[in-house]
Amino acid sequence: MSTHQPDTLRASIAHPRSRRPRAASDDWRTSLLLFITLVVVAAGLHVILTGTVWLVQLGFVSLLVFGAAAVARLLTTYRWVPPLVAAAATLAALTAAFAPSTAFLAVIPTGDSFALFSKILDQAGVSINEQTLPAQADLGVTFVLCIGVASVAIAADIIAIPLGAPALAGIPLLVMLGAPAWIDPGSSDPITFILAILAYLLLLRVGSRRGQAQLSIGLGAAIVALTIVLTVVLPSPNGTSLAGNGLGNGVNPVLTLGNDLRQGSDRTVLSYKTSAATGEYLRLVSVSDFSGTNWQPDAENTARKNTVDKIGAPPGLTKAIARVPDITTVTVGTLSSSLLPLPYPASKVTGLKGTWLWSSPGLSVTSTDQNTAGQKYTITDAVANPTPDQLLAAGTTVPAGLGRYLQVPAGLPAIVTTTAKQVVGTAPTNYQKALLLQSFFHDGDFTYSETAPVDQGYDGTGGQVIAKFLQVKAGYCIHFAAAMAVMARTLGIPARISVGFLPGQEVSATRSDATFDVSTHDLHAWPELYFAGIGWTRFEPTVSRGVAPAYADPNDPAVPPVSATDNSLPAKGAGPSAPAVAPTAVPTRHAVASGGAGSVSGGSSSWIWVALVVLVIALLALTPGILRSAQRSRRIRRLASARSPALLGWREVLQTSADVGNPIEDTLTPREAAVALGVDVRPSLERMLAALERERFAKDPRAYPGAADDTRDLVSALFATTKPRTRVAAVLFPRSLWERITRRPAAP
Amino acid sequence: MDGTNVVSMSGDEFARSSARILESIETVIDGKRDAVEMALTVLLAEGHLLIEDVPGVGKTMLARALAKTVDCTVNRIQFTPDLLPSDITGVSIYNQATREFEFKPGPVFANIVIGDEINRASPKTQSALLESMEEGQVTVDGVTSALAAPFTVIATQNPVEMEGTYPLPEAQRDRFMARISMGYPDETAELAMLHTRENASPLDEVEPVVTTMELISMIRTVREVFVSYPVEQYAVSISQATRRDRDLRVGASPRATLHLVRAAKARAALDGREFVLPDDIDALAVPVLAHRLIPANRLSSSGGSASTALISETVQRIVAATSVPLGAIDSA
Repeated sequence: MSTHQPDTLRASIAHPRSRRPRAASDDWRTSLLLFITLVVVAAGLHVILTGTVWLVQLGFVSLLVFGAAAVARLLTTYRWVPPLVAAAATLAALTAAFAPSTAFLAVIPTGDSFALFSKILDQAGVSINEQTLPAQADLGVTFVLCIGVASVAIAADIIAIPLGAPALAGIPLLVMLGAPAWIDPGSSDPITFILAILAYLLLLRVGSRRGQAQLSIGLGAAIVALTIVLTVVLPSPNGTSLAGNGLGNGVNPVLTLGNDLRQGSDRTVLSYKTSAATGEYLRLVSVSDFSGTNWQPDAENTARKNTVDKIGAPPGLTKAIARVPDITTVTVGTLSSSLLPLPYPASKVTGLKGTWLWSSPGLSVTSTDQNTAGQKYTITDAVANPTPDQLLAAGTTVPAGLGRYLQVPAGLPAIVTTTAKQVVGTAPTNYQKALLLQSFFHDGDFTYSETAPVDQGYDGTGGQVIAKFLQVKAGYCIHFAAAMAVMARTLGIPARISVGFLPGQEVSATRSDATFDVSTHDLHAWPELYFAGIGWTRFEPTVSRGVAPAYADPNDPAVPPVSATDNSLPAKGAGPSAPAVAPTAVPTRHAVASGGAGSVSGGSSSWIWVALVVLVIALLALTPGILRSAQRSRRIRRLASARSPALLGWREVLQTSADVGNPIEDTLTPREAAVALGVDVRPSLERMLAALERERFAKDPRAYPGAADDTRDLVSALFATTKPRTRVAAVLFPRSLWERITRRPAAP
Repeated sequence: MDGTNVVSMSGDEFARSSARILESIETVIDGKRDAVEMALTVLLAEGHLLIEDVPGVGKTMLARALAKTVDCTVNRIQFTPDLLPSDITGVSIYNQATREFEFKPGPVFANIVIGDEINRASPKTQSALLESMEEGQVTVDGVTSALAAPFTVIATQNPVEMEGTYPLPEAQRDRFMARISMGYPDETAELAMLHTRENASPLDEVEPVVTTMELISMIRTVREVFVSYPVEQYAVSISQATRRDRDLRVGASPRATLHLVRAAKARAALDGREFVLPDDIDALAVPVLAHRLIPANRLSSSGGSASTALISETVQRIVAATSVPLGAIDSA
């Protein structure tokens, strides 16, 4: 009797609940929910990133990872293959998108690809340091984001599906959700937060196995709570990352300057106490290479012996020139840069943390292991204060070895040169020419605008941009500085652009010194011109910003009056003589921003991305239909070879019936199914049914020569029973394909 | 049945013989094609048939007509409450002349035994049929005697709500291959009946249309019907499903599965096929399985017509929910 267990008991032994195998449909659902959650989480980055293209790109990356893993899971039962496939697909896509020129067959990365990746990563590091919040997702940042999202996606996929713990998959996702709040406290978006948590809870509910739901939900709730608590409790990383207002450190600080200026909030980034009465221009770096499209910082030499306790002598400055010695103590707040703001020329800096080295010939001070955030240091400097007579005495002499400060790109628009010539007319000395150029900007119709260049698409420093600036006559410091520097170069005066801060706002003063606060809006660029025996000399062409030094102040009686006779000419002559500047020829801000990487231009790459995404979506949309048609013709071909079973034709007929909206349950016998098909093509149907029954259920199956024809006949009859619209849907989005995926029948 | 020198029939012969039988029975029973076919199916599948219905719808008529069409021995036992087991199996009587006990075979020794109103007898007497039905033999006083071949019990019974009935024990119910009910005739059939039965019983005019040897040969043919693996799988799936079903306390026995497949073979042969289709299983699931199942709900497990209907519905639901295996493409 003991063998006669109650049936229910036996059934429960044979099918214990906890060992219910995961169905393929569960995995698909989990993948889909992970994808949705990740996209929502990624969307949360909008508080620290501008634009929306990056979200499309990240969505594409997530789709790629989860999709590749899910498809691989259909084809293999090995648990660890799908994540590997997903990783490989991601690598291929990244290669195709970021390093196509180095790839083998466009997708297989080579050694060069990895070298380029590493370059892009470096560039990303720079860009992250440079940019203020919200940042632009330029090439490097996009690359980093793509890698990050792909890693999170792969981790989540592994945890949720092969390891079978969807609740824990929330950890990488929610860490990413917390990232914006961590980078910029107070900037997190509650809506994204709530949506992400809702998506996550849905994932828990659907993705967890039966019997584990409570555990999962408990765990999930704990993770959600922990994330909320952590984002509130974690110390604000102010000044150590993006939150700081960074400036360039080697690639091209000039280019992001506009972004910093346009940033809405005006935050104090540093303050300093100085003995100089009117405050100091604090220079970060000089930009002097204008051989390419844009102004680029010089390749400077930094040797280990170049410690900041004895900074090299300023080039060209002779003892005859009066200098104003000052002691300045700078306290940096949130500015995060590897370039040190200093008055020029400084001779000694003390009190710095980390290794800071000066470079020649620009004398900028940089660090490879530290940034400026939180630093407090004291500078000994002596700003040169040449008299107008000394400047006049420099005449038009240009010492040897300064050739690269006279370089202009070959394609420089003629308007720049002609305007420069018209402005200076017949002025005899470089000093007078410089004064004329400065007053050309001050006394003309130029206006200061941080937004006009961007709105009209000529932001940047290239030759075309300067030409456009001379026509539109609106721009901000970088345009004035670049224009004056280029025009000076065309006139044979060595010139460079310095980037740094204006003296800022005086907040308190004593008899001996004064304290100034410098804010993000004090970011500035100015031209420096080289005079023999004096060296680099600052000018201030920017309208309404900054203060001109004494030797360049037209109101100073010692400064020789400049003849204004020629000044009206450019205004009249600029129009007709100016070469037409086609808007399309003007480099956009994105294009300029890619300067460092050089290979791929960001502007066109974003269009490539959009096109790629559209293409992929279109392909994805067409894929089901293509797959289904391919399957059908493959089957009919096999049937025509007459060695294939009638079952193949039968399956095709049943699947087509499902496609046209009449799914046939597999609980129907072939005869019942034949009735349920509802088509009136008796001979074909009867032949196929007879062949199928004989093949499947009889001892001696017979050949079925008409299989292919009958299948075709039945398929077209099934299509004929539907309305045209249903027919289109049946062809493009065959339901049978989806049903096979979601309800993979257990093979006997 | 020793089938050593019996050959199976060809398809045509089988079709002709079966058509003759059906035709012959239908001269007696009008408009009950399904019940008649079912009865023949059970006969050819070497099973026993239980016909359950209210009195007067022709249960006994069907049993007798079926028995009469075949030229073989037929015994009829009228079950009554005072019927004893020995009234069925036979008794050993002391023979004064030979001074030995002599076995007097009971009515069960026949090719076709009609057990009329079987549920009117006490369970003890009903059980006397058990051994004979399952094993084709009778043991009395330690002496085992083989029964005739073929051997088929066609029992009729009234629904248990009727007075003076004992429900058949589960074990006995399980030995019947199928249970059918006649149902009332429709209007035309009933009208026609009034004319045919006005003066004489049509049963008297029924002549045997097949010989015993022919019947054995037909049974042999049925045995040779091919059952493919997917169909076996289908039958087993259905039986398994009855054991898991929430509405059923006791599911189908393995014997039930066996009966289901055997009946399906007979049905296939009657349909002119030499192989069984899942449709055969579908069609036979209710008659073959329903009388063996016990519903989970105690109130409806009394065996009344309500529970019969409920069980039939359950079986139909299970059949509709069981996938029909077609085998893999490559195994063709």
